[in-house]
Amino acid sequence: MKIKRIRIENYGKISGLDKTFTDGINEIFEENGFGKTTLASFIKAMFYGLAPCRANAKDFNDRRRFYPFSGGKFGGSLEFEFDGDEYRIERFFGKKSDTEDELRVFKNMTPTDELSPTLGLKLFGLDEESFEKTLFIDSQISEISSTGTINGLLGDYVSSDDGISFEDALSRLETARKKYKAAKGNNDLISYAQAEINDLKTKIENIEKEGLALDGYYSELARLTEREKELRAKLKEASARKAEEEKWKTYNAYKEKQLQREKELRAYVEKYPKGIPDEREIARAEELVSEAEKLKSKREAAEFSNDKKARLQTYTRTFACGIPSDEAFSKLQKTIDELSSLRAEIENTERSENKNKTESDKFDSVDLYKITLELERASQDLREKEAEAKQRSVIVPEKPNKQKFGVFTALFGALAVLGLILAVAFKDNSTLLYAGFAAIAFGIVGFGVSLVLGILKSKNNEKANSLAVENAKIAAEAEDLAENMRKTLASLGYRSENGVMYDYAQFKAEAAAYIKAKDEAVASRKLIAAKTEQADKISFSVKSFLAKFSIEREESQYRDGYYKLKTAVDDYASLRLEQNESAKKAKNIEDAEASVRRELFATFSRYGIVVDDNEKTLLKSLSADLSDILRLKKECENERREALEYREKNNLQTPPEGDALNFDEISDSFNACQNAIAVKRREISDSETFYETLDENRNKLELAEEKLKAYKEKREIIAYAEKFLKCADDKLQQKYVAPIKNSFVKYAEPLEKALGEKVVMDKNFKLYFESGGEIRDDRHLSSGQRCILSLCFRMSLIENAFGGEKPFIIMDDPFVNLDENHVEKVVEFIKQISKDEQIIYLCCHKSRKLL
Amino acid sequence: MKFIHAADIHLGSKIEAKLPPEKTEERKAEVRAAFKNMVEKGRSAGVKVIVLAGDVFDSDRPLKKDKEFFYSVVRNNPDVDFLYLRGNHDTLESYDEQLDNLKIFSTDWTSYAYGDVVFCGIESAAENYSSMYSTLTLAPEKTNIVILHGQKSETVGKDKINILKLKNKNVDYLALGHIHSASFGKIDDRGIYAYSGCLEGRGFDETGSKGFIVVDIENGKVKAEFVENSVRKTDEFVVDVSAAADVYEAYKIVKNSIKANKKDLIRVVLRGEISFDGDGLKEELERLLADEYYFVSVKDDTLRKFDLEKIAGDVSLKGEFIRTVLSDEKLDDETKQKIISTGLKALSGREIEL
Repeated sequence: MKIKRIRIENYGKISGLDKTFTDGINEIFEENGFGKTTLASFIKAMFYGLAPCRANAKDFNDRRRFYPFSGGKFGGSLEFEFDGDEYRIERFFGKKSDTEDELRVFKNMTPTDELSPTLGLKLFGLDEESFEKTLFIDSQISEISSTGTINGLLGDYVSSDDGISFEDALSRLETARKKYKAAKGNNDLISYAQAEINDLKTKIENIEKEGLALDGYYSELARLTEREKELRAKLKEASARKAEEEKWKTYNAYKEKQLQREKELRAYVEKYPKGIPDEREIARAEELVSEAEKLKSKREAAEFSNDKKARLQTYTRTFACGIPSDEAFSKLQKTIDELSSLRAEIENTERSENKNKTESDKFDSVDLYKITLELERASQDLREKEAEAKQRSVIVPEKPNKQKFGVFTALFGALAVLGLILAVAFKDNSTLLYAGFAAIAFGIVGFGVSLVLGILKSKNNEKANSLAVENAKIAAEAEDLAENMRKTLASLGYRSENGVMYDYAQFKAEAAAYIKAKDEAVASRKLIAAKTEQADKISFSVKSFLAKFSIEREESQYRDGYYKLKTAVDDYASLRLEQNESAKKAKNIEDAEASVRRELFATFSRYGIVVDDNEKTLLKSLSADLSDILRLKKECENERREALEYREKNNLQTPPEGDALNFDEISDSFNACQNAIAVKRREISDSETFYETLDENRNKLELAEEKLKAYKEKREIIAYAEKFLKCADDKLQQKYVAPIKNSFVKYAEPLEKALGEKVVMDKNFKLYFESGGEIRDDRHLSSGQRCILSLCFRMSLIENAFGGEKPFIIMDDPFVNLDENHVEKVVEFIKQISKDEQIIYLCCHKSRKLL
Repeated sequence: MKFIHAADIHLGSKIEAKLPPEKTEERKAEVRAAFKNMVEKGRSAGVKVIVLAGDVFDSDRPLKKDKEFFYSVVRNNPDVDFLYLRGNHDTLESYDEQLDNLKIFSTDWTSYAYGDVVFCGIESAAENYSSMYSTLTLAPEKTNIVILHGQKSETVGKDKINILKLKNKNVDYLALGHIHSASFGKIDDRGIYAYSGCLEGRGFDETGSKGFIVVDIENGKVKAEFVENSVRKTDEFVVDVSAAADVYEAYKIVKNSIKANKKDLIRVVLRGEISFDGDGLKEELERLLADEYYFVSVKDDTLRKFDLEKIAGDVSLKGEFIRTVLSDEKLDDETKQKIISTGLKALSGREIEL
């Protein structure tokens, strides 16, 4: 494949550039800034387009980087020759998005879409990235070689995009496979699943056995159910017989009751051979009895009572000596009144005497005469002493005041001294001097007078003191007298603050009154004695009168006795009158009562019933018997009817005969059978519950088997993957690595001298070199050496990847890291390969020029 | 006259949907509830006869619990006659109690008349499967309901029903059991046949509406109508998730594709080629959908989409690996894709999903 021509309309800084290319080397030697990289990018973009600018992306991709600086239509055209045909690509780009991109491809001047839209991929069999790593060689190659980019390029062959080597991938697969099935032991998923399946199979087998056992249970249940049916039938039969017997029993009970009632009725017939009064007759008899009782009560009430009789007899005895007349009662009342008056007078007199006696009784225990005499004498002496003391008090002189005279004397003396001081001190001051003299004079005079008067007064005092002593003696004697009187009076209860003479006057007045009262008491006692004698006589007469009528009363009760006697007289008269009237009334009632009883007797006689005294009880008994007879007749009828109805209703023809089935025994057997059925049912339920887990376990088994199948399948898949991966690796080595290795050796051989080492490549494209007989890692090489090796490797790749027509190679100044010696060798090398391939070589330094 | 035609209740049946144990038990109870609901609905609609065209029980030896339930329902609805013809699943021990309102059939034709409507049925057996067509005699003036259990077939055999042989036999309505989906068809100018289907879907092989058929006979004319009755519906949805870029998008696509109620059981079969890492997709989707339906089962039949053309063109180990796998002549495409997916994961340094 050869590029013939390019036309850059606008791309980066280049605008309107036409460039023609030839076979072999096409060198573009320009200084920096010409746009060599832009041109290289343009060629790549013609084949692979430009990636759109991603929103918010920070990367500076080629679409953004090479958008025309000066505007205009972004893109251009490229013409190339391939497989004998001529192609023209016209490609223009939007600013950011590829939606506005335009692509037109012409094959031999005719539009074609056989290469659209992935031109590069279809032409070279390489995607853009692979293109960059093979046909597009830039300065990065040296970095690649120096930083291991060769290994990276080799990675396209031996490793995945994620940098996982064949060994890593194989190891992962093996690990996963062993998780499904370990090489040894059972610690893997397939073994677990198999164990689970085995367990489930065992479990299912047990459940199925239980299912088979269920047949036995069902058979047993069926047998029991059949037995239950038989017993139920027997029970039904026994129950029916039992019910029949019960019905006959009930019927017989009705009959028995009926017979019993009839027997009871017969007893009444025997009791009342002539019959029994009917209800009406009994009711009439009850009325008659009631009437007779009423009459009897009335008669008894009308009769003179025993009480009254007794009272009347008592009265008769009481008044056997005659009944007191009204006059006698009047006289008795007056006598009692008189007696009361006398007793009242006596009492008044005695009360008056007692009162006087009470008032003066304090003098009863003393010798009133003697005391009165002594006190009279003492009072006279006291009066005399008090009179004498009064006279003597008039002549007693006044006692002088000695202190008063002394003060005056001292004051006058001091005045004289003051006058002397003034005279001496103020002898030059005539006024004060004279005042001093006057004071001296006045002081001396005053002092003398006071002194004389004091002496005279002292003599009068002595005389006054003598008179005072005598007066005190008289006063003491008077006081003694008064004290003696006071003591005597106090013993009699006379003591006041008004003085002893006042107390004596009180005593004297009361003592006189006492003596007078004593005299009056003597006269009064004589009068009382006379009246008491009279009253006692009257009292005796009254008492005697009442006693005649058996009324015993004390004097204080004479009036009560009077009234009692009067009442008895009245009651006696009343009782005698009442006795006569009662006798008449009772006779009438007695006649009526006899009439009632005759009718009653006639009624009972008709039925041969003997009447005793207690008609009521008899009637009650009759009534009860009649009621019983009626009830029995009714019950008897009912029993007869019910028995008949029951028999008809239950269709009782003849009582059952023969031995009955033992109902209880059958019932017990039936219940036992039912219990056995219940137990069996429970067993079946339990067994079925267990059996019902069969489906669940079968489901589990299915799932487990599916799981096992899936595990095995996955293991198989993994095993296949391992197998195919190994196979692919072998193939790759045979198909690609070996030719590449051979090509690499071919390319590297001429350069080995330059390198000075023998370079070898292993099956994984790993490069080594021999040094001193030892194989060494390529990392021991210099960056320049590795750059050359990388170029060799790329060329070997191109040689092997493109078996037919070789594509062009773009070299964008790739050898910037090589020294002159190495460059020289490489130039030769490129010239050699340019014989077969078109090389577009761009550089900016003459040292790296090819031509 | 109105009667219900139901069949294939399969009381005590295994629940095939591989539900967790507690839901399995619940579903078994719901199968019983579906039967109870049908009876109650029938009573409300004035139905006097319920035809059970076989396989009332799932097994010859039903569990006591299921038998007791069935007989209790019959016993406690004495005003409804249950015409119970045994199917291939409940041929032996299904009859347990003799109840006045439980009418049974045998290997000879047995008839029950309700006025002018005659119900006639026979249980298929080796001794009668050939002769039963010729021994069937129906009065033309009656409305004849025939009850059979078996697979519609063009031949004769045990548990096979040859509709053609019932032509011109005066059949007005042929109540069939055995097929678990409801369907109707014509026998001749006079009669029709119908499978009522089962009452409740028990697995993802019994999807769609389930219920019974109410047959209304008025003046000799038969009108049959399917009534949906299932407690829950079981459905399967095949969903192409090729357009999904990740698990969540796959979930959205699946969710939009499912036309079901929250109480239903759903099976989702994922199809298409996915470009994202689909490891654990089944489990992830089951978790995401778990709260939205009663039960969700996801089957992942997707393929991984690789730009094989591109990778295979690489001069690399990956490329060589893919080329090597693809060149194998023994393996099928699906296996190859799985191998490639696994190998690429290993080459990408990713975890190999267990």
